[in-house]
Amino acid sequence: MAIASIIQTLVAHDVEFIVVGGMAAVLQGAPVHTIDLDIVYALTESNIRQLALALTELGAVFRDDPRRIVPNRTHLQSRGHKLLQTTAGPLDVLATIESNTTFEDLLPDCAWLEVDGARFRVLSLPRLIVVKEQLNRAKDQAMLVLLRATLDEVQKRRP
Amino acid sequence: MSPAAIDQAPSEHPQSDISRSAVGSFAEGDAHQVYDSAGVDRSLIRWMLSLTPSERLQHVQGTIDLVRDVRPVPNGNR
Repeated sequence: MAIASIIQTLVAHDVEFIVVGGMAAVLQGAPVHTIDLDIVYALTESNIRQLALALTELGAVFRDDPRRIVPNRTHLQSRGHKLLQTTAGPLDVLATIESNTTFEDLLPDCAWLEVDGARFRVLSLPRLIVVKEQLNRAKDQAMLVLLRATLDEVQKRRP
Repeated sequence: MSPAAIDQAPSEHPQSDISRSAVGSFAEGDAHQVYDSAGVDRSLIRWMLSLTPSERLQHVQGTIDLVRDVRPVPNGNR
């Protein structure tokens, strides 16, 4: 399974990352469809080294760039979004989200999930809702409705 | 209405029945209503929540694979 194999590769290389965006919503039960995986990663030197190794294994190149540029450590040190294509599917590698929110900033708002034995962090539904509320784009507003409804159903299930 | 009944009679929940009084909410006592006031199909959410994260991912991956593999049928072969 392609998306799972990206996650498993990141976990196997001990990359510190948080799944955000639509896939984080799906993984927590929101009925949304998305085809890419968005992650926020820790900007430490050791993590960038591990992430670069994982991306090499995944055959990652910058998407929509005919030169097929391979992301290197300098790219990964930058704060911009790296929109990549891997052999297992699209992968958006984000140093920050919102205005300048980092991996460390998001840690208190994460849940742990497991897929095929790989354990990893996802941004919690309440925090995903906050992120989407700050983005005034039509696609985010549409997802917001689904995220709020999912959180409502999750809360109903709690004892 | 029970979840089983929802599965058996999806056509009995037209969106026109939705209360528009508050976005994303239900009228009191409608815990198993399918569509909420924002038009969200809560039965889909309840089904997703019944799955494990791996199963949710498999569902999305299945959709991606279907979209990737689907091909148009030439007119002469219909």
